[in-house]
Amino acid sequence: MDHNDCKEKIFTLWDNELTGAEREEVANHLRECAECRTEYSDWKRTAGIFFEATPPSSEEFVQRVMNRIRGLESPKLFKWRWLYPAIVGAAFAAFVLMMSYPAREPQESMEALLLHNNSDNIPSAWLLTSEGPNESQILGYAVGEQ
Amino acid sequence: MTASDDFKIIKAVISGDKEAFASLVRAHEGRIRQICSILLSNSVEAEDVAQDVFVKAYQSLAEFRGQSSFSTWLYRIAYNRCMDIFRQKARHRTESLEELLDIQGDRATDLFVGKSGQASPGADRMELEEILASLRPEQREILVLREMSGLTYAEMASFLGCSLDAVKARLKRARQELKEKARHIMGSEIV
Repeated sequence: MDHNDCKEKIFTLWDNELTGAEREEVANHLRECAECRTEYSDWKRTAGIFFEATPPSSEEFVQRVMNRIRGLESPKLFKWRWLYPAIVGAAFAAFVLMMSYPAREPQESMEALLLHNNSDNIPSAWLLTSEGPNESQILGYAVGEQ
Repeated sequence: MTASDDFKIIKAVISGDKEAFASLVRAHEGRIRQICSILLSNSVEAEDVAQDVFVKAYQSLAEFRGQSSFSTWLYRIAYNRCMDIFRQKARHRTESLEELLDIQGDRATDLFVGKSGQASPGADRMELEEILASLRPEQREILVLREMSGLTYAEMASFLGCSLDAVKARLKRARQELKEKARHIMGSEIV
């Protein structure tokens, strides 16, 4: 591995994010290259000074947190959480039904209108009965029979 | 404390044993206080924020799915809380500065310029805090996520919502900046 490639990977080595083979290559280069070795050890010392020292544990802190927690309700799992999508779905279906209901009114009015304005004397009862016209009635109407 | 120990305690707390939560606080408070202290650049305020982090964790404990370790979950709460405070402060600072400039005009500008030119003597600990505080917030946060929270590159990418390459580049820049700013300390360490 060339010096510049290795220099690029020094932090990746420190972060333990190199694959086995790469790790070996960078480690070998570090043994031979004083500049890269210094770069690595410089960061090791910097990280040690700034990040490794954890503040001493504080029982006072723990008790302050616990005093606040004692005044709170226990965290509980909401067992009916799975119902949320079902409730939303049912509400949506109800909404769609409600919206579609007024749309049926004009259809009924239209049927009434046809009955009233049937100037050609078409057997308009067909429109309102479940029984449709039979074949001979249709053919008769088509040729002008009443 | 191992991840499975954390899980056992979490189950106990959810079952109603509030006092069991103290073990979780004891196990993680040092790191959480330190993370808050670095992110906020203020160790006194960090204590209060760290308390808030544990209270928030307790209240949301039933939502912990165990997809990451409990410590990573806690770090995430700490990070989010610190970022909220940081944003509030930034907004407040802008408002205060505008107010001051309105009242005092050029005198206020001189005040700020003069202050930044002064060297601030202090103890080593203070100096370390000042150096960390002088980094940009995004540099502090990525260093905290890697060096203190121990997140992998992939975890950081997912956490920060950016690519692996972006994580590596940001981390490298932050480290170089910190090394540069801490050069005088590192020099004196060698001697």
